[in-house]
Amino acid sequence: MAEVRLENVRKGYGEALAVDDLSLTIADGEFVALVGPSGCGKTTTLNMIAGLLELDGGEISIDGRRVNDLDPKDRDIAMVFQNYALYPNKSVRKNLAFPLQMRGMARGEIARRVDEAARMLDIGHLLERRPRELSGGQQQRVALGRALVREPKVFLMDEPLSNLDAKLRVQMRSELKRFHQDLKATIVYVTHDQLEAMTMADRMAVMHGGKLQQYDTPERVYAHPANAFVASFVGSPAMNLIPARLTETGIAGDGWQLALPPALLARARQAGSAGVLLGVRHGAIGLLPAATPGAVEARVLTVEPTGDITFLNLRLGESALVASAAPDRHFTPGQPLWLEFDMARLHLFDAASELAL
Amino acid sequence: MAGYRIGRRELLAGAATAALLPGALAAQGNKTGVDASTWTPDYINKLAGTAEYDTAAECAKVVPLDYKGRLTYWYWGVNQASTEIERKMEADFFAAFAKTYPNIELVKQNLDYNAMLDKLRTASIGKSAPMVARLPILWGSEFAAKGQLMAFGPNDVGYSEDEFWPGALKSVTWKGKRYGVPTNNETMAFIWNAALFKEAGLDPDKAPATWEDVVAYSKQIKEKTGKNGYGMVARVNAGNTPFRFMPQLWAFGGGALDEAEASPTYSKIMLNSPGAKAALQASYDMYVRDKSVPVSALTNTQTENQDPFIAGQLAMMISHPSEYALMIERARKATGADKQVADNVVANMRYGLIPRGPARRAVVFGGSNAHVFNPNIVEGGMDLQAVKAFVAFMTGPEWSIKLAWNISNPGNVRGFRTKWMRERLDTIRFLDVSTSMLPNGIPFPVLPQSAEIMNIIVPNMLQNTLTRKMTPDQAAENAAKELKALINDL
Amino acid sequence: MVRHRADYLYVAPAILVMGLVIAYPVWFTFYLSVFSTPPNLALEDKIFVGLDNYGRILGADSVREASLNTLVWTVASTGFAFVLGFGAALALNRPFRGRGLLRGTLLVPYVISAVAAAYVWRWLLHSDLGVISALAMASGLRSTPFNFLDNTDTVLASLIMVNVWKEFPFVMIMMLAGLQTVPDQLLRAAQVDGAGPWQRFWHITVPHLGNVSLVTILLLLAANFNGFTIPWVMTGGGPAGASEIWITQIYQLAFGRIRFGLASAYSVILFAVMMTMGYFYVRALVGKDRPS
Repeated sequence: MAEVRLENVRKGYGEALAVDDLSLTIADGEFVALVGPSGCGKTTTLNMIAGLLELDGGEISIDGRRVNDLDPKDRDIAMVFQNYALYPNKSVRKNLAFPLQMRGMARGEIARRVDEAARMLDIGHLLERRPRELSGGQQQRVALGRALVREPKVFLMDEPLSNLDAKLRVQMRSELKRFHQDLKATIVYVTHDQLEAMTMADRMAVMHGGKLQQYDTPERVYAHPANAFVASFVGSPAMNLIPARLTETGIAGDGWQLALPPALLARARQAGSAGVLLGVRHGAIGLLPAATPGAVEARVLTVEPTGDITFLNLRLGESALVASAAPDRHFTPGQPLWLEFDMARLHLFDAASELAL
Repeated sequence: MAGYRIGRRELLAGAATAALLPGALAAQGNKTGVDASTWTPDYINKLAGTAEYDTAAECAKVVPLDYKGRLTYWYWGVNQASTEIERKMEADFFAAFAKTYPNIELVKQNLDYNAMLDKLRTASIGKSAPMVARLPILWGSEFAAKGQLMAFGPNDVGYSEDEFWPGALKSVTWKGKRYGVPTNNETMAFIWNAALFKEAGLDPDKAPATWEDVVAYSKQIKEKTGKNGYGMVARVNAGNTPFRFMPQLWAFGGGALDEAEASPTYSKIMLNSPGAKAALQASYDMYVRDKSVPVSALTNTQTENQDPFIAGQLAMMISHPSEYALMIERARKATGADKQVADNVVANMRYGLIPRGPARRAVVFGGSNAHVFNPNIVEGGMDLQAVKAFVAFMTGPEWSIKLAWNISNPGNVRGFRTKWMRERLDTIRFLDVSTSMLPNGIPFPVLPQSAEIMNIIVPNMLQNTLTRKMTPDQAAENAAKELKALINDL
Repeated sequence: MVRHRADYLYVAPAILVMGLVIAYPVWFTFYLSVFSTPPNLALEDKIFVGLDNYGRILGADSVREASLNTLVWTVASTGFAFVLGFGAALALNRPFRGRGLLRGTLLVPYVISAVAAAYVWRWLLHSDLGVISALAMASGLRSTPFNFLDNTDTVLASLIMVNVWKEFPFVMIMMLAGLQTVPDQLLRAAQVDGAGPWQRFWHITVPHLGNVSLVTILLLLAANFNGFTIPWVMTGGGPAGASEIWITQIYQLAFGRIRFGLASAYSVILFAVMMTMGYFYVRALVGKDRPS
């Protein structure tokens, strides 16, 4: 296993930059997710690490060795594709053996590795079948096996679970996690699903518009988003972002005001922000039936009970909010509610730059 | 007149052959005023302009001029490549007929040469044939054999058979009966480039007298000038090939069947006769031994010889009388350096008689005949009177010469006496030479299988020899065997 | 059941035309093939000879020679056209500057009239005046012209060359279309697995193109077996029958020798061969949709 280092990596298509000055390091044995919406540059980055795309600028090194000019086969990486990309005319065994044959490995060694991988992924009984005879999950395991037999330094995975149905996806998620733990493999995992990234990765790199937004453990990304984009991307339902302006004591919106802890206020003042975005997750909003000092008044728009938790769409001044409550509480649309925010879990973002204050 | 100079001896030899022709032409002379036994360029010249005929009056004797009727007529007429004068003559013809017989409705169809035979075959099978058609000389026997033609001859239009060439009459005879009236006849001649002859050390104004001379001349020209000598044509399935090889075959005493004899039976096979083998050997000598003829002869038609000739790369070939006019046309279209070469060739072009062989001097008797179709396959029924009026009009002296202006000669020999012959002699170069071969004309066997024999069996024999697939002997025997099978199939 | 009746009505005009233009002539050919039609007899007087015509054709020496020529002509034309066309498709598969122009240029042989092309090539390869020979002689490579068409050893090869030139763009188009469908991810996976360009071609592209290739080859075989224009216009089947193939012999038999009966029998034999090929073609097409 090995460390993967990206330094100022750049890739452009015509005028636009698909990947803009990306720098990050994936430690040996780490599971890192590259996550972001479509078109953010994550797949492009993965392909560049793999060697399927050429860089327009910057450096990539694997295990300390610069690999910019190396072919994929010389980088000691293995890749798992979204569509599995299994060779349709070959049996599972031949699929697993193919990369080793391309390396000119001895027949005995090939057989050993294939059997080992099959055992580990529990596909030993499928070895003589063709890919089209397998289910989605089985195909995914074969794809994993094909990467596994290579015993590569880095595993690259390009949205491998996107083609599976929800239930299978959950199952495969935990299998992949176990895979990672057993092998202590370095894995770079691309996904658009922030939940996958949150549950599986040691660290996640949030990308948007080709730029790296934040690179940290899932907990910290969740709790301390670096900017408004990350804040709204990670976590579901998304964090509420309410536009407001700074006042003497805190912030104020359209028909409401809220006092802020002095430290937070000072930070905002220091940054010289004219307007701010107030970031608060649904779980950090307390709902009070009656007016209370320090609480702001809002009105209920709709109520969405889900069984475990009830979501409420509220209107605060000109802004919409989502809040949550225990399932046994009852609300009616149009009902006024007073919102009490957990000050420890408040975020402020500069309205112009969207950076966290 | 610069351009021809044929020795007296050769002319007399030619005339002597003509004298051997049976039938009325040689003996009589009085009724038509034409005596073929002394058919020399001089005689031809003297004959021209010595008589005048009244076409309308002659036709009126057969069918009254006010006859009301309808006529359908298919022919191979002027096309894009035709000259001005051909167009004029054809237009004049139809106008004159309309004037002479104003009440006969003429429905005519001008067909392309290559399409006409198939169209007629199809129409005959489908019972939609025209009443009258004017067909090249080789085509008629097929329809006659199948009973698709009506018995019809010169006598039916008020003409005596003396007025037509014996060879032409042979070509409209099937099983002893006449099935058509000759409209025009032509024979080919021999052309050469006098400048190339001179360059090779040969007498520029003398054509090779015999076929052995042709082989020798060809060799000398190739050796001394590097250019090809004789323009051999040996492509299969091409009409040009038999027109050039048969004269050679007959000259040596061979033939396909006994068509060269005075009274042919068309049942005796002569492809493997000693004469035929000798003729093949001559071609072999030229193509294989001396390499003095174009290598492409095996795939060439005459068209592919014209360009080399006008470019001064080919010395001599058998050619149609119209070739001279064609060469002038090509020289006119040439540009730049080519033009000078072409003009030179035209200035040095000579016409002469086709060479003689040990047995005879021979040439293919070509031309066209007017045939009348069997009423039971004619579309819309037959109007015999209209047919007679038209055929009489077309095959009389006036129109048989006018419609053959550029490229042929009147089928009716009285045409040679008209003032138009005089005009032609004055304007068409070499006409006297190319017409003087008429007595040596031999028509192809008058059998429905003639096309197959001439276009396939004979050229195949030639190709087998020239590619050395077989020796000349073997090729001749092989062809004779094939011909026998073909005849027996009847 | 009622719903299908309208379908038959819609197809009726096409079936009627096909019946007139194809079915009746085919039947009539079969009918004529058991008669003898010598040129001296009108068609209605033809003589019934049973399978005599077939016997004569199958036993004729010239047919045996033509059969060998036909085999060489068909297989060689198809093979070389396929290889050349496939190569062109591979070369044109990835974008490069001027690709569109090159692709259009390479299509030219396929779209121009066969007759015109045959005539032009006849002159290019002419044994005395051909441009190719002239260039070779002018540059000192040769002292005498090449003899492509007028000798029995090289004529068939020359015709095959012209034929391949004419039809390789068809292969190119078919294979280009097929190449577009090769899944990109599969090629990338193979690249990551360490397969070089040739190995990717062999393990992924070729198996994927199996069906398109089969269809293309079968279409070519059928077209070449019947390929009339080039041999007929260029050499007429000569010299001495060295470029004679079944279809030129049939044509000559029917319209040169006017033996409709014999030609019909010959045509029926050709028809049988073609139908066999057609059967395999349909099987290859349908095989694609068979459930695995």
